Amino acid sequence: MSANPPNQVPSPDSETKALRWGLVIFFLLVLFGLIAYGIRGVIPPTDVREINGYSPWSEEVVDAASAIPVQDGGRIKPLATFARFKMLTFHGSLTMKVKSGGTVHKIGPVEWLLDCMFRPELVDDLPVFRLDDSDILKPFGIETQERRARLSFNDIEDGGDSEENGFQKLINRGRDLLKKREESGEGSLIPNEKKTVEFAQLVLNYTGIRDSFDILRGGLPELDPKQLAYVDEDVLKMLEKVSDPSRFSYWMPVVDRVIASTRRLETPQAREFEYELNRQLTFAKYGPVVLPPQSKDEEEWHSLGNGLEKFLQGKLEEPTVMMQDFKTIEDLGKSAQKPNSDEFLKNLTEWKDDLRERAEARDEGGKVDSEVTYYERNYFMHALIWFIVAFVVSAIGWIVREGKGGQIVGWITSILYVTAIAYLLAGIVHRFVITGRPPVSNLYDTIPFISAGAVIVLGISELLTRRRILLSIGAALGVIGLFFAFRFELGDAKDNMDPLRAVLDSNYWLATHVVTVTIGYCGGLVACFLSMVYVFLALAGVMKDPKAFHRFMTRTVYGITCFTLLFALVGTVLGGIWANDSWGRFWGWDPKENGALLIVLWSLIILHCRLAGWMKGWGIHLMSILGGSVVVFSWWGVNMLEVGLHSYGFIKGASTVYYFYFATLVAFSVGVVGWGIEKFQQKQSPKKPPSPPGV
Amino acid sequence: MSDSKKEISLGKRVFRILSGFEIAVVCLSLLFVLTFFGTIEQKWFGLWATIHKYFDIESIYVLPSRGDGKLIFFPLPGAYWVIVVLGINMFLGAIIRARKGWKKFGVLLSHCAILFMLIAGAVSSVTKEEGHMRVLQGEQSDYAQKLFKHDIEIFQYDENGAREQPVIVRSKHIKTLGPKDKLNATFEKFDFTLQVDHFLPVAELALDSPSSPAPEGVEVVDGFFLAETEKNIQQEEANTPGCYVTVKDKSGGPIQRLVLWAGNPYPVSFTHEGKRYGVTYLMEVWPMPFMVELHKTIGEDHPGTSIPRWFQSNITKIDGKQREDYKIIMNEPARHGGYTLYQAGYTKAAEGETPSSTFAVVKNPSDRWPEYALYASTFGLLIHFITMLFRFTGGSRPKKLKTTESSVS
Repeated sequence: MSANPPNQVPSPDSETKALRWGLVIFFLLVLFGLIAYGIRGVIPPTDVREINGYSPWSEEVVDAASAIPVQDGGRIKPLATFARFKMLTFHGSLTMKVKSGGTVHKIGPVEWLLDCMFRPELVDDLPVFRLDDSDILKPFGIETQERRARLSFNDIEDGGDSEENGFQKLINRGRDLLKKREESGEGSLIPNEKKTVEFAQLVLNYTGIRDSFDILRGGLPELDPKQLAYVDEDVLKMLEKVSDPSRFSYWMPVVDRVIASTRRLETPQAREFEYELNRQLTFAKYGPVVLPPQSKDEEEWHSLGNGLEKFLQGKLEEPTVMMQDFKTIEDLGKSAQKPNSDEFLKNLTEWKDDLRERAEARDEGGKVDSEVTYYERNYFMHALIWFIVAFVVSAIGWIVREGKGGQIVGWITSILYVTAIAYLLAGIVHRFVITGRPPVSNLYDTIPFISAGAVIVLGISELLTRRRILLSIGAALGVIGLFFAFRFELGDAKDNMDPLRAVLDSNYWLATHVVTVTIGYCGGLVACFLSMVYVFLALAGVMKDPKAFHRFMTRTVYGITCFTLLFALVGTVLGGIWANDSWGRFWGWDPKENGALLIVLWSLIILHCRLAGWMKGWGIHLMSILGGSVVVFSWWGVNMLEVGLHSYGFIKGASTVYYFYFATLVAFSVGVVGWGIEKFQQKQSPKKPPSPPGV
Repeated sequence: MSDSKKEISLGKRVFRILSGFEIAVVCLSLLFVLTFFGTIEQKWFGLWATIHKYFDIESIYVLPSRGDGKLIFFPLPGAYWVIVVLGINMFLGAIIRARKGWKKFGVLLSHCAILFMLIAGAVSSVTKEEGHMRVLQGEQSDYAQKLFKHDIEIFQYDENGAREQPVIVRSKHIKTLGPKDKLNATFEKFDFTLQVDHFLPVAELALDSPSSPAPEGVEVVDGFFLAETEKNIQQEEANTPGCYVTVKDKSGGPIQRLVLWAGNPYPVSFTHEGKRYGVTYLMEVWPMPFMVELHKTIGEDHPGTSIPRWFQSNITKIDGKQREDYKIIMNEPARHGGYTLYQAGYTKAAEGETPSSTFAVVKNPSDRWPEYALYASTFGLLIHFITMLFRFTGGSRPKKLKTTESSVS
């Protein structure tokens, strides 16, 4: 990088102004095109289905169901959270729309799960499955109008032929492919085959949830209990004590003997009964894990199926409680025929209260309400909206920049900016309260944290320098960061508040190493965005006083690079010390460690080149833009390699990072062009006197 | 100007070059490129192979390549040696040559600390030893095994069938053998020699049977043969070597042909002049200067998952007559006499079985040096950057708030 006095930014020249603007517009179009392409991938196709007789669940019912405690992912969480991530897994979105009687109803995660539990006859028509490549379903006779589609279970089942329906064909194909993978290795499947396996597993998981309550819906084929008496007289005697043969709780005390007896009965009814009972018992294991264990020493809650297993094995301290649970759910199912009746709400509320009481008696589920509130408040969405508004107002400030009007716009921008930060921080703090661990424990956590860090660093810089431009950049960064957080949550579809594995579960190291290195990421990204803004504005030549602007931006970027180096270096070494205490070595050239080292090295190259006088204005900005890619590689790229000891951070896809790499390349190209134009202008007017150093 | 240049001695010129920014920036840039390629290549060749290729002391130069073996960059110097040059440059430039004074104290301190960290790395790479020790609950152990080194041990059985003191053919002599190379080992203790051949770094012992016969040209010994398998790039310890061995008498005549595989924990035996001998090919045994007694190993998963939540090993270190109790939990190893024991794994016991803990044992004189370097470098950088921040804010804020010199027009 040759020496380049940073102060020699000429005023916009009329000869090159048109060219400059042309280039800026071209590059901005490329950037916006890129963003639009990225957004297109995020927004799934909307499909409003007509479902006759669909009546929405009332708000009270949804509220009551939301706060039911369930065990999932190693912790007790609200049913609302369980439903949220299940729906994201299948549907890729948190709402679906259906039309009934001319009215469009929005179905959220809890409503959808309630439908699965109590109105399965309706859910198979809901467009539950998001499919990004419908070509994979063509071999099963399932056709869609567009490549990206939303499908219902019935759409899938309607495919196929007279021998096998589409669902059966899909599942059988999925099994064959899994077998092939087991025998010949991961690499033996082509991309479409991998997608087929994933989709088949998704559909199978859906049927698991949908059918998990079948056992309590009274859907067993008719079988006269007297038939059983031929092979087991005791069964009949026991059954006679129970009143209603249409309920599973009627069979429950003797279900194992009923199965044994039906096996010995040679009638087709008995075969059908046995098959259906076994199927329902199996699927009962796949639903939400809602039944607290009866023993205090036991930590694992039970699904209906697992609870029943314990019941039949005689391993329960109070079997009658389990029987009561089954009866309660049966009653719920019956009253759900009128979904918004007082009876259903009363039954649901009583069941929820009972489960919560039992959980509280075990010192569990204390944060269920707080978590429901967290998702209801939707802090990050509010922060996103406030950042957008702050950005728009700050943009007005570029035009109305002087006088009273300018001051007012400046104040409004500041208030909006602070409000957005407050929402963002409130969300981060609320997560911290729920999980009880530092707010950077997984990849998702790092996104709002880095966004908050970046907007705060830029806010403080604005406070120190009072140039206004930094608030605009901060607001834009806030929007990008939070948009990315939503994108990641949708794509990942995993509950990011689930507990950590043992080696990570150290608040000391999370609060020191992870926080420090993440602040380092934050610094690198802020410097990158500042430089991006600089090169676009410098190329456009729209600054009133280019020299002062150049000097200010270069000094700021340089200062933030120092900040990045400090935090990245300290964070990296702290990580080494943690690794030494966990794995017995300080440095192992693991991808995640290397990623952090790359940021340190990149910052050091910039600082040493600057010290040697080889890199000043443009050089620092161009390096800083590429530094953004280095940060993103360290933050996300290395996780996509799927190698090393940081296996808990592996991700698949995350194609958004490629857009970022491309965006930095575009900005870098803009910078090179801007630098070239400046050099050209310097050659054209060699008599210009040198100005004082810029940095 | 030219006169003054002439006055500079050759030594000074060399010193200036060695301590200059040029070398610093070139080294940092090379290290960046090497680290980058040394990271992405792990995707194709795995962690261990890539580390050895890029960062080992033996790597004088490297050829970055893709998964298909095609070169993706021109040859680069090995990272270890780049770091050595960078260390020398840092010592000469940032410590000897740099201006000294209070204003430069922070920079000087941080460079000293980073240099100390590099020295810690060098000491570690030369002297560090590591192995794994598995202990059953209620039992003791006084040795660890080195995961990536496999020795051949030859021993004689006494009249009671107990093993006598073995002689050892070290891993370093075996692992460098090619498939057609032969290694002849002679022993003072025994009147026979050993010839090692057909060494395979990744192999499995297979039974020659009608359903899976040995491939043509592959030697079968006592119904078994060595089959070359694909290298596991994710888990180096899963790669088990094997070799064939011929026991020869002093005249060179063959006594017995053996097939050795490092995954076989049992010795293969032969008889020579009425005496019975055993041969094993196992991970190198690393004797400890103390005994570890495992009292209890406890581990839990998060409920309803297979994600480990917590684990702990209660041990006693017995060093002569000295007994000391330790609790080893995640992120908290036990340190004693230069050795550090980490919990590397535990096995839950099924009914009727005994649980066990596996400890990673590390002996590293520079174990805590990076920590000390961290404190010093953080302190130095903080002083330096805070000073710079004050200078920056002093010169960056416009004198009048209304000035809009940098706003967009």
